[in-house]
Amino acid sequence: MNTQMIVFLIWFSLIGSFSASIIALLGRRFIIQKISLAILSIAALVGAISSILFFLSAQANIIIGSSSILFGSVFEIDYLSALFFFIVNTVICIVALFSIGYLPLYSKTYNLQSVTFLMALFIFGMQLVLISTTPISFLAGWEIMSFTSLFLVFTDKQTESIKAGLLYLIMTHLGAGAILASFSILSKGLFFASFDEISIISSDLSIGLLGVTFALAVFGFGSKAGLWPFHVWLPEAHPQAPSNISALMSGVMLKVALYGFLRLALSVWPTLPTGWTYIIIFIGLITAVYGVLYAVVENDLKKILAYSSMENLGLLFSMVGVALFAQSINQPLLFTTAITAVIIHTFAHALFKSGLFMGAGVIMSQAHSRSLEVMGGLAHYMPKFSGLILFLILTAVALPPFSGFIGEWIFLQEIINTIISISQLNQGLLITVLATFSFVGGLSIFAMVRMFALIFLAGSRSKEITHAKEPNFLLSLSVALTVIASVILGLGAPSILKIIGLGSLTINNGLKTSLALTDGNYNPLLIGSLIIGSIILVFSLRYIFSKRKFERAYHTWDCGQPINSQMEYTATAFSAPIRFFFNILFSFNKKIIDTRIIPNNKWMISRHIELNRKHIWFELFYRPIARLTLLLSTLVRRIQNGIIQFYISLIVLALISTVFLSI
Amino acid sequence: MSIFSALLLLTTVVVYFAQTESQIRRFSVLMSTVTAVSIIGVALLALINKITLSIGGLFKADEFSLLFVILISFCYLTATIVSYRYINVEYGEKIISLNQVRLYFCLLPIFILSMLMTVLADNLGILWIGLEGTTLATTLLVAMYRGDAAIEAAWKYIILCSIGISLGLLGMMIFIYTGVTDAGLFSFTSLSFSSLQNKAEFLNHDTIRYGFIFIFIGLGTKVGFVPMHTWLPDAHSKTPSPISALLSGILLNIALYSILRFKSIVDISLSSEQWTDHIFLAFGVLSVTVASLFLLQQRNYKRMLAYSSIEHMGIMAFAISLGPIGLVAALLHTIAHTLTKPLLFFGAGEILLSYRTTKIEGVRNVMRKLPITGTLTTLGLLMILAVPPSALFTSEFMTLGLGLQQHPWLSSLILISLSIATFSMLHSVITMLYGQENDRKVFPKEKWNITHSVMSVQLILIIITGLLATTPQALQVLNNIAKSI
Amino acid sequence: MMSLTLWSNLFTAGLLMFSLILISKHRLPALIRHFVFASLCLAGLILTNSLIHGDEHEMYVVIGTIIIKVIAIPIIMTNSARRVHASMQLKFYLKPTATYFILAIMLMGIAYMTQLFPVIPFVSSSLIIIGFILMIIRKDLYSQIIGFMTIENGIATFGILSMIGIPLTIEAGILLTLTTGVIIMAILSRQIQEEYATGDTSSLTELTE
Repeated sequence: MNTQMIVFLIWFSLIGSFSASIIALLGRRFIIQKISLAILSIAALVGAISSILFFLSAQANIIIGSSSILFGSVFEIDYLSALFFFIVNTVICIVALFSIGYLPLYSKTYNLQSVTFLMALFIFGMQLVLISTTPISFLAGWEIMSFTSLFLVFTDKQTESIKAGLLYLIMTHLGAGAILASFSILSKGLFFASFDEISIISSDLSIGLLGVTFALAVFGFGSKAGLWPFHVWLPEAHPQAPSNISALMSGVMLKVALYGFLRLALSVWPTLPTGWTYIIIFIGLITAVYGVLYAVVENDLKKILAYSSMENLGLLFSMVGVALFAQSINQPLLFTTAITAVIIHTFAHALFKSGLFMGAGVIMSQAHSRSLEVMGGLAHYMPKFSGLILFLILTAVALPPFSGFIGEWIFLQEIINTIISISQLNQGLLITVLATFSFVGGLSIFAMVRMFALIFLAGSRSKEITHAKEPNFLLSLSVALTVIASVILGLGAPSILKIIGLGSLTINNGLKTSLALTDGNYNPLLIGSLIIGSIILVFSLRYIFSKRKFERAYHTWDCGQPINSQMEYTATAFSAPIRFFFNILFSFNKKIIDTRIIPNNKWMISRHIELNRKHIWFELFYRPIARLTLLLSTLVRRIQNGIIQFYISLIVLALISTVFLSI
Repeated sequence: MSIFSALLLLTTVVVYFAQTESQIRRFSVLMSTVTAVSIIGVALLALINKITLSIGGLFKADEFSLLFVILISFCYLTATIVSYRYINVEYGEKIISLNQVRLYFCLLPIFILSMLMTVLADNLGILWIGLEGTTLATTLLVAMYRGDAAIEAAWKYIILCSIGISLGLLGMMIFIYTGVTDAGLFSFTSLSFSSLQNKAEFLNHDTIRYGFIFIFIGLGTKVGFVPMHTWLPDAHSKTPSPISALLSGILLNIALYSILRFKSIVDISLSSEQWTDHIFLAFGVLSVTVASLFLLQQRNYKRMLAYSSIEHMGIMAFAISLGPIGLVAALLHTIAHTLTKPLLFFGAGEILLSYRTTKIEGVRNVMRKLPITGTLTTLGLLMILAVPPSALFTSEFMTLGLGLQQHPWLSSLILISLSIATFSMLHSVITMLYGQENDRKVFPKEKWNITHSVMSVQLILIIITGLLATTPQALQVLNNIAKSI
Repeated sequence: MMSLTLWSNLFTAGLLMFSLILISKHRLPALIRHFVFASLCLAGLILTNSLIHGDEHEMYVVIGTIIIKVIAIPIIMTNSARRVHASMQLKFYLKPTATYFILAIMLMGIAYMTQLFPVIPFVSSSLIIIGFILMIIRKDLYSQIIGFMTIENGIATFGILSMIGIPLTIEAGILLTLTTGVIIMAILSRQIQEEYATGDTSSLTELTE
């Protein structure tokens, strides 16, 4: 009964999101798009509920159905996919709700019909990826997801978007090819086999070939997840999409890439050699550092969030790396904890990042810009909303009791527990991980505080800001929902884990893990009440002691000059120290441009600074490849020189060489 | 069979004597509908009842050729319907004269007839005549718009293809020679595929290898394998779009199919597929790689589609070289490509009618000016780029999955080339769709026309094929067809 | 009987010789004239071979060859060249001397190949090579047609000398198709000359992408 119920609900969810895309095509009127989005939201909600039911049912896996198309692929939900199905659908539900309120604001800029259609299809693709058990259905879903998101990046049809989208296209296409190659090698040509069968088939694969599949998977999934050095498209493409889509791309699509990698790592590959896990860890750490550094110096609101996504995905992948590392050196506890941390942090990041992107959407709809330099003072005009964003920022900087904290915390705690019992080299590795995590954590606080402060605090730098209003109910509600979910996760993580810990991750070498945390490790409720208690304490003390103080409200002392927004700390200036320290990485090119106010007076000059940033990695790595390909193409194009005599000799040449080579 | 040829010839004759432009067009559409529908009907009946027809030892209709007959008829039907509008517009704008319209609709049925002849031939001579016939029938169509380098394209087309086809003739004669001298066949029976296949093991190995190389290079010129492809982008870009659709969509496949017939004989004779597979492999990989590099800096959208055809022919050749499952994939690829490519050429034709240029830089803002065409073309493009649910996704998945097992490096090369091709084609099309023009003109709203209907029908068919193609039953059917070669 | 074989050899030699001379001809009329001689030799070759083997129907082929290759096509080509006042002087990419040098090397190669693989007779492969060379080294449209016809001659020679005896219907079909092809080429070449006012293919290099 219960099983049937779950199967029914998942079908409902899938069909719901697919039919939402069809409905969107029916007409151009707002109401139709709204209905479509509502269906989408409900479908996602049902999907999330179905995965909760799955956890409650305590079954290892449930077959949802098999289709005669896609070569009789079986669709199935198991522990890992249920986890991601839940996370993904929860976020989708909220974002779809947000879109109902958000998209009409941009009815002139975007073609709403196509956005809704593509969005629903995009979601359908992601759901398909999560429940597929065969490479072909996995890749079919993956390609649907990639191409719909590609066209969503193109939505505003600006030259920049097109450029970013095409960069995204080439990376994602190569990535899909790599994934296909990886699957194909693992399945030894039996391309209709399911993942479970593949894991058996590939068990006698030579270590070299396994390494190839590993490298391909790191590239394939890593390019989608925005890992260094395949990240170049991410900070370009994510911000170009409409904000609700950016929320989906950053909050959800990256998680699907993570899911793909986990799927291979946990249920297909045998235990990987320790050296390979180092690679994942280092790639993850470099991504995190890279992402956070750029998040600090970036001035574009949505790009900051995109870089922050890179940072978080970097952390997640290094956690996965540590988990696999623990598996290979046989530290089951660290393995369990790391995987748990991955799941929790995935969920946390999905929530706060989608929330922040939605928030960014609201802010942009008021400020009509993405640049931090023209914002400021929004808190005066939309105080409630800024409060919500503040909560999300606190989650993002991993402060207790919010959900961003808990994953990282248990992870680091377990590393410290493990560190004494392993060899020196591995100790060094774990210490590096620890150090980098704290470094990244510190900088991410810097980045987020900077972002919040420059948007919401102080005086406003542009006229648009002064007309800003609180967003409508639906928008606030959906952002608030992410905050609420985030708090629930942060406070209730152990209980939640207890519920879902009843299942078990399928792991090749028989290492079963239950995701329950031991109570002694971490008690968020205690910490939460401690924090709230201390806040109350501080406020009541202040109230008690300063009640008698004599206060007079007066404007800030301004040395006789009126204070205006030009005196405020700017976004560029705020990040100056970081820029100064890491200039090798950023390779900023600072130029002071003088323009004379009166042409023949050289003393009266207006100056402004231009900061040009080169993407050093792009210049060093991608540019040469692009140049080489172009050069090759130019060379090859000489074949077509228009001279018929040359063409004839080509035929003769082909004939003669074929004769000589093949006989 | 003879009734159908008579129908096609009748179309030609009547068109020749028709007086006005609209008479010609109406009659052509009428006749093509009658002919195509009846041919498809008969072919489907034969396919379902598993009847193998054989006519006088000259023609034979096995499942494989019946499949092609259906595809040809379908393309004929769609191309004529699209021509109905396309030629009308061009005639209305005085781009072509009445005589040219007449020539166009006269040659079209002859072209179709020679293609049908090629696929139904059981005789080397007939096959050859059919193939050369396709070249001859289309040359004047390529040259139709006299100026604008069309005539240059036609010249290159006829010279290079004729050379190719002559080499093919030489190869066939070598086959016949060894059939007569080594297998002891009579000269007449030696011309028949069936008897050559039956006696294949007696054929002299060396001789037949030489023969096959001549045939491969010769007919490969017609298929458009690199480096014999040079005529292809010229001819395909200069022809009226419906004819380009036929050339790209079906003619190339037919040439490839003819090579396959010889391949099967050689394989039986050498009792291994390895030797022929290697030739297919080499030219397949070369075609895909070079075509994708050509696509990267393409400035002309019709040439872009032509290079894409070369690339797809390369993929098919690559798939063929991978053994029996690869052949199934190649067959699926052929069907899907035949359905998709004409759609794109029809779209390109609409754009050409509206913008009067085939240069990508001259076409901007298609999405605002021609939203229906733009949307349909983009969807078609996605289908040709193997985005699910296109059947090309399935076939490329199978091809590369197999390929990575057998030739990992070459397959990786193909994967990279495919990425480059995808990037370049989308790049070009997106600039055409969304690229901003300086002046913000307000365009009159595009009306739904008959080309759009044809394109939509094709699109629906592609999606249905794509979904059906992934069922085991469909694979079984394809496998049976592949075995009948 | 002896004399027939002798005639056959003589015609073969004539065919090869005239085709070789084709390469060095600078002027269009000379080119066409020598091609006519070569085709006549081919017709003679077919005739003698059919007499040797007693094939009746080959006679039709002889007549066909003579009508098409000796009479029709040369006349069409000459006429079309006259009508557009094309220059009778033909241009080369490569001087005849150098060409002959290359050709000599290639013919030696062919001779060696014929030793290894005796299916294709020396004459026909030489003719094919000569045809290709004609098409490659010359810049004008006529040489391309003549070159193509020379290739066809080579293939026909192969057909005759290997004695496979293709049935008349098929052979007639092939011949007819070829003729149509050459006629279309001639039509096209006239159109090109009208369009570009020259018979030079170096004006046909617009399509480069």
